[in-house]
Amino acid sequence: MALLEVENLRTRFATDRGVVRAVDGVSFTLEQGEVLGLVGESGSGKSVTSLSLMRLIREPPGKIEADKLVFDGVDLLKASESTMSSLRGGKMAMIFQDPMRSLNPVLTVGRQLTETLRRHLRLDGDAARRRAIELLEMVGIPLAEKRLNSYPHQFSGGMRQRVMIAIALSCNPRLLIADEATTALDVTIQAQIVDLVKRLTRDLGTAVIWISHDLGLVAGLCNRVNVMYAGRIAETGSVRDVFYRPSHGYTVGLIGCTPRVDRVGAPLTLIEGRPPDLIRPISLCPFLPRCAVAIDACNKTMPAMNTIEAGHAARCHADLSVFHQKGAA
Amino acid sequence: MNRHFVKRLAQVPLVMILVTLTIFIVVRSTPGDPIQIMLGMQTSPDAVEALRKEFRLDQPVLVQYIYWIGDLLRGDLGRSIRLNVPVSQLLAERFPISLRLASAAMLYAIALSIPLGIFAALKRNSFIDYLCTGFTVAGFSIPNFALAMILIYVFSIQLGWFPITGIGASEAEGAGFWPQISPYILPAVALGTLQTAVLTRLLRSSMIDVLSQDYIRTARAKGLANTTTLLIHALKNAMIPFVTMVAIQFGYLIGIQVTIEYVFAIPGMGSAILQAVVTRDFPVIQGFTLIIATFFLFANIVADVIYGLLDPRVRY
Repeated sequence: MALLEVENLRTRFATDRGVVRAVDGVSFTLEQGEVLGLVGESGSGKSVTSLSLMRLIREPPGKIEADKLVFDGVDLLKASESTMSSLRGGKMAMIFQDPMRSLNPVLTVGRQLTETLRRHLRLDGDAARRRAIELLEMVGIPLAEKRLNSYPHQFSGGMRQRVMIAIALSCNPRLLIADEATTALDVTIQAQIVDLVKRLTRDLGTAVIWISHDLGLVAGLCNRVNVMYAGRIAETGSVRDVFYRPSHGYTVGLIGCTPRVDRVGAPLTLIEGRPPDLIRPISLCPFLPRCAVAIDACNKTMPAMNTIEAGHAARCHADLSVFHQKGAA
Repeated sequence: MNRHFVKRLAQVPLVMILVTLTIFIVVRSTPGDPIQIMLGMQTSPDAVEALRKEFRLDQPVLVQYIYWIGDLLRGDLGRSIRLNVPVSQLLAERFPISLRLASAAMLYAIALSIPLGIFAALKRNSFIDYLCTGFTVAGFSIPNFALAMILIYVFSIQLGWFPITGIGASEAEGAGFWPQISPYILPAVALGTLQTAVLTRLLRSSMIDVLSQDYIRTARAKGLANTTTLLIHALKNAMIPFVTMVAIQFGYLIGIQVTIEYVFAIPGMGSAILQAVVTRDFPVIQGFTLIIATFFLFANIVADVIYGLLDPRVRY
């Protein structure tokens, strides 16, 4: 049985200007221990998708709907708030983008670690403290015992993200959602954090949804990747499929604007324009106004999700085989 | 923290010199002669001159100032010209009453503003929030003596719940708990409503700000109970500016009681100063103003220290 099944997830927000369809019909499944990448630019619905899974969207103004939203046998749409809060931080955990701001500045790191342990594992003060030290050592924080009494501002950005990871993994979650977890860190620290998450989740058998706009990072980390655009999945497939045989105009554009070591000096392409206003109803491919490979059919009908090969599908009319790398199939 | 505290304390003498100088200059530059006012126009010039000499009013202003500072350093606040008693004795009678009233007003302001501020922030743009806004606007706009009149009319005259006067009355001394505190209730409400409005608004806005912070989302993503998220994660942050403001406002409360004292016939510091100003009783004006200024200064230092204690990021 899949760990997570998402079918036709729709998350909307009522605003003064109208209803924003931040996520509009997203479907995917996640197996136990699988690492899934969620890629797309700001506003494409990656974060809202993950916050919807945790039901951390404020309702109202938000509204989460889906045909199916089942995590580890629990129907998240019908789950009570108390069921949700025992899942959050327990079986499903999350790390966020900015470690400078996602830890509480006035509580010690120890307190922020142990409160999760006390809440979900029912550990008492002493046991929680011992476990907290173990966790800090696990994420590579030296002098863990002393550091328990430190406040977040006494840690560097990378160290804080390690603390966040320790908190997230403290109760052995089945699913870890990392929302742009390395975006705010500098490159060398990024690599350390990615390695840490990779190693720990593999050891614990935790499934990961890794949200990022960094294609290279997702390529090195994930089994599968969903490319999101305008609140929908534009393309889905294994990392190899999506990167070597991109089958959506947006994916092609994204890959074109990522610098690569093996093509030093090659010009980077640019995706002109801006993503669509999600308040307006979308009747054609939302990427059409910015698309460099659009064909006549794109101006007539909304493309359906076309299967390119097993496990690889894209919502695109155009034949993009010219962009596919030879020999990669 | 400690170094900062020491630094703040080191500034105290300089501030005090400026304070005493300002008080002295302002007091001495008001027209009117205390001796003349006390003795009236019919007195012989010799008697006036003798008294002027006794109170050193015949000396140049700078010399008078130096005498005053010299006395202050020896712990002597001088004698009241009109009442012919030591200023310190007057102060001993009146300061405790003012302090008690200020404390009562602050207690009332804190007790009301914390729940109001939290509810208004949580239920933003709801009925409770609008009610709260209405209350704060009223608190800001109604002069405290007018509020005092309304309170007296409703709660003392119509309902008869609280006495109108009685603070500092000798019959209340040694009486039970209720006769001792009941005269403080209406004055405290009248005096503290402005502070309640200030604090409610502050807590509401800082709570709204804190609730939108990333660490609150983290707390919710950790599956913590709502009350834990709210009372530990949010309130602890939102209380930092609040507690600082409490300390500052407390210093302020000591100095603004005069109208309330008149309405409720309270023998506090405000009415004593006013009386002293009317009769140009220089030593009393100077002594009382100095005490209020000192109190205000220390309230600010305490606010600073508390800020440092509450916010671990602040290390001076």
